[in-house]
Amino acid sequence: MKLKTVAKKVLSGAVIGAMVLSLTACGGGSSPDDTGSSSQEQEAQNTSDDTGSDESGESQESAKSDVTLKFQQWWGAELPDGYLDDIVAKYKEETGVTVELLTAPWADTKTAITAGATNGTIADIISVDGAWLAEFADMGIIADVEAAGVDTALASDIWEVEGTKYVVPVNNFAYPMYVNMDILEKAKVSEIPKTWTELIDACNKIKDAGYSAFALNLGTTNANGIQNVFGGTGWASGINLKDESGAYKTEGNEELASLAELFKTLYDNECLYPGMSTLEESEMTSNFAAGNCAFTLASAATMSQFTDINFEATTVPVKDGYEGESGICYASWAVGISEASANKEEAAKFINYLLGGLDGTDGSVAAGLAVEMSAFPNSTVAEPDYSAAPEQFQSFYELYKNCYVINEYIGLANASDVMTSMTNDLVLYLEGDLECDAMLTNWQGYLDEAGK
Amino acid sequence: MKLFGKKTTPYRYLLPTLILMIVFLVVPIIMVIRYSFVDKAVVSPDPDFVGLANYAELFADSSFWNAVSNTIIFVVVSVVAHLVIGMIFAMLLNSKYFSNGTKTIARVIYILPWVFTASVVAILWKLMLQPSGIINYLLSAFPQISRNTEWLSNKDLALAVICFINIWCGYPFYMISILAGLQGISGDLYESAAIDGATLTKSFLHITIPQLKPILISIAMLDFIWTLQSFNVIWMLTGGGPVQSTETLSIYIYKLAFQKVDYSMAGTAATVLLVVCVFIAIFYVRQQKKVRE
Repeated sequence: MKLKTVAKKVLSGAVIGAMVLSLTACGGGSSPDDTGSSSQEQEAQNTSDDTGSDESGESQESAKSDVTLKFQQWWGAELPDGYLDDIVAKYKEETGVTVELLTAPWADTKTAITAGATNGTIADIISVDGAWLAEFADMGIIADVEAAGVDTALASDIWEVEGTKYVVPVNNFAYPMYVNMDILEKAKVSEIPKTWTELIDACNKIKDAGYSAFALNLGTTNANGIQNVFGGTGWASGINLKDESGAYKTEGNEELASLAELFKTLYDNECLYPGMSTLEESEMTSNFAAGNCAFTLASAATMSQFTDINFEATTVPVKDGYEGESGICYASWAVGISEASANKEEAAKFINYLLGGLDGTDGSVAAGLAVEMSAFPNSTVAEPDYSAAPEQFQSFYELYKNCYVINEYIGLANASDVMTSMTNDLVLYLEGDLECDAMLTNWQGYLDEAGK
Repeated sequence: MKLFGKKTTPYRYLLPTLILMIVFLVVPIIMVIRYSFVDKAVVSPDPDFVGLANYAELFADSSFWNAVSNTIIFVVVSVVAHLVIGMIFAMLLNSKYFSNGTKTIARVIYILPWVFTASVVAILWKLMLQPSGIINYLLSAFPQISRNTEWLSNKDLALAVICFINIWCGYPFYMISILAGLQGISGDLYESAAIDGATLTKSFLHITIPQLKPILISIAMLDFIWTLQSFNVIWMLTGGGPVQSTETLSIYIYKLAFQKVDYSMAGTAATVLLVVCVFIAIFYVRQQKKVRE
């Protein structure tokens, strides 16, 4: 055999071998058994660390350093560059535990978590949106945080499904109504409206002055306008989707019908921002930031975007005659521990650190995050200093103290799908293709069927 | 047969490709087909076999048929328009009435839409089609057209607008392919036809079209499959809305999987789409075989 032929055969064999090996390596993730085994070893190691046993402090430190937690979140994409990295670097410095950040935009995080749960690559700690809670619990993706060791006393609120505590909010983002004061002035609206009648009058004047009045995002790529804007307006007047027993009750709900009629009036008067049925939240806020509309409801976290306009952040106008306490829509940066994690205990410790530091009394991490993102901490020990926050945030904070936060979609099974269906019906109603009663009956059906 | 003998040589060369195809194509397809026969695929550690129940549920779902209807309109309109516009532009670029310089400039301009990625196309058109965008501004010169037309948010207009955008970004592929075909047709055929007194229309119908037929069928088949699976532009422009008016099968499947987290039904709808694509692919392969023969 010629040397050239031998060389060719050796080379082809080597290439095939390398490919087979690499594919084996790609597909050779830990099997559940392997995970269990490593989990037991890790837990044994951690237990040994915790008890101290007969190890020296130095060896404890080196054993702890072996733990690496993966943290899947969207926070890093929204915080200033390096902010979250600094938190985990400090945590490593103090505990030796490495927290590897897996950052993706909010819109991609759910897919990343679901895919990770499917193929066994899910992170130890995962950020959870309220709309995903029931699905993740149903799929067995998230673990009982209390059982894992999260100190529940450190959190004002913990999200539960059927009595099990699954998710711990770290920051809560309230949804104020933003008002473009320049447009109000040009439209000769002297005061920020406080009631629905005043809101309708103001919107009419703004429209007559040639401006768009109120932005309602009913796009279905991420159908959250039904929650944040429509729901947020209702909650301000004590209008709920649920009755006193906690069951969803939209069919025949006259208060909800009156809320729908408010938006119908705004639509019929051409006061809603054009293109609402494909308008996404990000487009809505960027249009407000560009000075294209007078009123919108959006997260307080977006306030930093409104640098070029003269605006105020306030509470949502209430239904005429309503004198009760106003609810404010909120969303959260919340975390859970994945059921598949081999390091649940360490994950719980990191969550405790986010809420109350190493000793459970230092809320500086939660407070810092809250101040940075114009949010409110869920930590019971955090004391955020908003003195350097924008003036609008500080004034809203004063109003916020007299209200309560509410979001009736948190924990709802298949929340994304239900909100999409409800949004589609609301568009049909506003455009006159569906009666209000039929819409509320349809909503009842979606809510009753959710998760079945 | 020796493992490294001459007889196994072709298979050894094929092996890397075969392994990749099995891992990244065959296995995922089999998994998705399997999802369509079980309940709570992926989300349950122990899904139950349900036979054809998912298919029965899918075919009873009005949203599925709405997506099928939208997909058919979207695909047929896009493919036909691509073909017609691509043919017209290719013939213009192949015409002897323009100088080479003009043709080169025109070729660059005409091919531009194909160069843009889906996200650029979506952002570009979304900005232009906004109620306060440039399209409405330009149309304000015509008093009979409302300056506040909501091109993408009007459920009666949205699908037509999506088709238009897809046509805009897809015709250059046809144009280039047909132009290559036109340049391969011998000029002798047209000269002979002209001597015999054939009109331009007759030359087009009896020389150009038959000569281009293999190319036209091939690109139409490919375009049919690509348009059937079109997702990015629609998702970024309308997300399937308003009120499902632009929800094609790919959007419907995506929503089932990632909004409803119903991988079984998503797998079922994807399998139906796969069957349609396989039929077209078989037709395409047969056509290619005929051309080679």
